Amino acid sequence: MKQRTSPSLKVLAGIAAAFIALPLLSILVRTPWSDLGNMLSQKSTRDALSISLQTSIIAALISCAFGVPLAWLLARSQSRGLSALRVICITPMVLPPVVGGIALLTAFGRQGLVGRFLYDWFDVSLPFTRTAVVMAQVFVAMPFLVLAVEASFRQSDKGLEEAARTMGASPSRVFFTVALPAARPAIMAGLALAWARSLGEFGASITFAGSFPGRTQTLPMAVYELVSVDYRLSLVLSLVLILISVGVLAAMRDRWMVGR
Amino acid sequence: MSGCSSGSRQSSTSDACKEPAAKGSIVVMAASSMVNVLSDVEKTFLTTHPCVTGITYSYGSSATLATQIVNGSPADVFVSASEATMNTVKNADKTVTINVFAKNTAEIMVSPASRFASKITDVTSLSDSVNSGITVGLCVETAPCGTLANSIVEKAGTSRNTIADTESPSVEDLITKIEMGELDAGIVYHSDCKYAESRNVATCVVIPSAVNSTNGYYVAALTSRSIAQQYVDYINGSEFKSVLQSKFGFLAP
Amino acid sequence: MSISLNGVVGRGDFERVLKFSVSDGEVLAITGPNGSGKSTVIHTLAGLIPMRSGQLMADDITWDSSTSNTWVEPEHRTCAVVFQDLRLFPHMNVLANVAYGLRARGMHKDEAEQRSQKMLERVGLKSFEMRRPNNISGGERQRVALARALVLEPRVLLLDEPLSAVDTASRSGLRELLPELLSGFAGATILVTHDQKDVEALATATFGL
Repeated sequence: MKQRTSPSLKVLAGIAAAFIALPLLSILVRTPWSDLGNMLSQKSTRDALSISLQTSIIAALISCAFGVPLAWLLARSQSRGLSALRVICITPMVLPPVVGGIALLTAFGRQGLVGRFLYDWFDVSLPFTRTAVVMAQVFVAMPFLVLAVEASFRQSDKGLEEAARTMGASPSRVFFTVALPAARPAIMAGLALAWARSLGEFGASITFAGSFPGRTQTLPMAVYELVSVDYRLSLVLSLVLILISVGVLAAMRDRWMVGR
Repeated sequence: MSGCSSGSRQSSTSDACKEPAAKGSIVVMAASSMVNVLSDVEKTFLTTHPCVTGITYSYGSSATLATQIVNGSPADVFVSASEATMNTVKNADKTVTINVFAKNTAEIMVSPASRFASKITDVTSLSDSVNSGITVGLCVETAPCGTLANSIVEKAGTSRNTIADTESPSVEDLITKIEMGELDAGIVYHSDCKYAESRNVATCVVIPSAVNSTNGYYVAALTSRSIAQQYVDYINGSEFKSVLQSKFGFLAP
Repeated sequence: MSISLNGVVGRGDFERVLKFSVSDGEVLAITGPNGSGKSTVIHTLAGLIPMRSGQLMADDITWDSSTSNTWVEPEHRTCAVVFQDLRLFPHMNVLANVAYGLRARGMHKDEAEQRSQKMLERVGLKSFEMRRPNNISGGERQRVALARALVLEPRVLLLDEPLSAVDTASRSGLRELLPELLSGFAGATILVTHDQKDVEALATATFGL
C-alpha cells in the first residue's frame, strides 16, 4: 500500500518546520555579508571563537572520560540507590542553566562549600577563570552524554560480555574490549551532543565564570553583550554559532547515528 | 469633573486625575543603580499620587534596557545612567521629554571577606602586579558604569585589561558578586557603595576627584499618559532630589 | 581432571537437582527437550549463574559451594564455552576473536595470533583470519567459535547445542569435524543437545534431564 500522509498532518508539520526554520533563515538573510570578513577578523570575535572552541572541546572530552564510566555504572547496577543517582545526574538537563551556575558558585566559589577550602588552603580561586568556563560546560553537557551512552549500554548484548568472561577476561577487560566498542556509535553521538551543548552554554558559565573578553568570554556571551551595542556584529557571531551547530548535527546524522 | 476616588489621602502636587482613564499603573525601566532609591520612595510616591495604582519595575543595565525599549518593550518611563543610552532611545523616537536629574561618581567597593581588604587603597592597588591574585570586576564597557570605570582607570594610569578579571553586564551583578565574596573588589557607583556600607556588607574606598568621573542620570517619559508624566515630574522634583542626595549619596545634576 | 556437580541448579523459576561428573577424555552428553534447563547447566558450570545449593568441583578445586561459601569467577575457571548463539565479537575479525581468550589470559599478541592461526587451520578455516564474523556462513561461524574455545586448551569444554545454529548443509561436515577435534582434546567435555544424532556421533556417556 502506498504510504500517504494526510493533508492536515502535512500542514501541521509544515508550520512546525517553518517556525523553527524561519528565525534561523532570518539571521542568514540579515547578516551583513559585505562586512563579514571585517567583523570576523576583529580581535573580540577571534578571541570569543577561540575560547568557545577550546573550552567546549575540552568539556566534551572530559564529559566523555567521566561520563562513560558513569553511564556504565548506571546501566549495569541493580540497586535502587543508583536509580536515585541517575535522576541527580540527569538533573542539569532540565535545570535552567543560570541555576546551574548559582549551584556551581555555591559549591566552588571562594565562599563555597568546597571552594572555600580550595581558596584558604591552596590559594585556588575557581570563579572567573577559564577552568570555571569548562566546569560550567561539563555540568550542563555531561548529562546528555551519560543519557545517550547509558541507553546503549542497557541495550547491549550481555551475552557477548558473558562470553568474554568465560574466556578469561576480567570485568574491566570486558568493559574496554567488548562493551565500549559496542557502544561506540552512542559514545560518538553523546560526544557530539555534549560538544554542541557546551558551545551554546551561557547561563551557567556567565554566572560562575563571568565574562571577560579574551579570557572567559565565549561566543554566546559575546552575542549577549553585543545585542545592545553592535547589533550587526551580534548577527555575525550568531551566524557562526548556528553554522557550527548545524554542521555538528549534520555530521552526526550521516556518520554516527545511522541505524543498524 | 470626575476624578479617581481615593481614601483619606492628602493631595500633594498635581494629582487630580483629569479623566477617568488617567488612573492606572505604570511600567518603569530603570538603571540598576536606581534600585535602592526608587524602592525607597515608591510608597511615598503612591501615597501622594493616588492616580497611580501601581508601579512595575524592570531594572538592568541602561544599555540593555535601551535596546529593549527600542525593540518595542512597553514602558512608560525610562531612567538611564548615561546620556548615551538615553540618546539611543531618543533617536528611535520613543521619548516624549528628557531631563537630567542627578549625577553619580564612582567608588571602589571592597568585599569584607577579601584577604586584600586592608591593601586596597586606590585604583592601582586593584591590579595583580600590586596585589597578586586579587580578583576584580568592572562593568562592561557598554554599560554606563563601565564607561565611567574606563575613564577612571585611564586617568589612574592603568588599563581595564590590567585590572579586571571579569566584566558584569550591570552594576547590580557586580555588587552581588562582591557582597558574596566571590570578587575582592570592583568599581561601582558611590551611591551603591554607600548603601552597601550602611548594611555592613562592604567597605568603600574613595576615588580622589582628580581620577574620578561622573555620569548623569536621565529620566524620560515614553508615553503621553498623564500618570507617566507625574512620575517623571516626581523624579525631577526637589523632594526626590533631597532623598537622592542626602540619603543615597547621589550628586546634584 | 574430573569435574563434578552435585546440588541444585536454577535460573529464574527453573530449578533442578542434579548430580554428575565427567573426567578427562570423556564426552558427557546432557539431553532433554527444550526448556529442561540444559543451557542453565552450561551457564552454571561456566560460572555465569551460581548454584542454588550444593557443590561444583574441578578435581580438588571448589568452583562453587554453598557450604563453604566459595565462588570462583568465570574468568578464573579453566573451562571454555561454545554458546548456542555463538557470541562471536562482531567488531573484531576472525583471528582476533580466536585469539581473544589467549590475550585475556596474558599471552603476547604474536604468540596468541600464531596459535590462533594454527587452530583456524585445524578447523578448516585457513585464510579466514581477516574476515568479519558477519561476512561468513553459519557453519564457518560455528568453526570459529569452536576454535576460539579449543585454542585456550581448557580443562573443561562446554558445548551448548553445537550444531543447532548451523544450516543442514553444513551440519554433516561439522558432524565429522567435531569428533576429530574432540578426540584430540585432552580435557573433559560436556555437550548439551536435543539431537540424538549428535549424541551418537560424539558422546561417551549421556545424562537425561
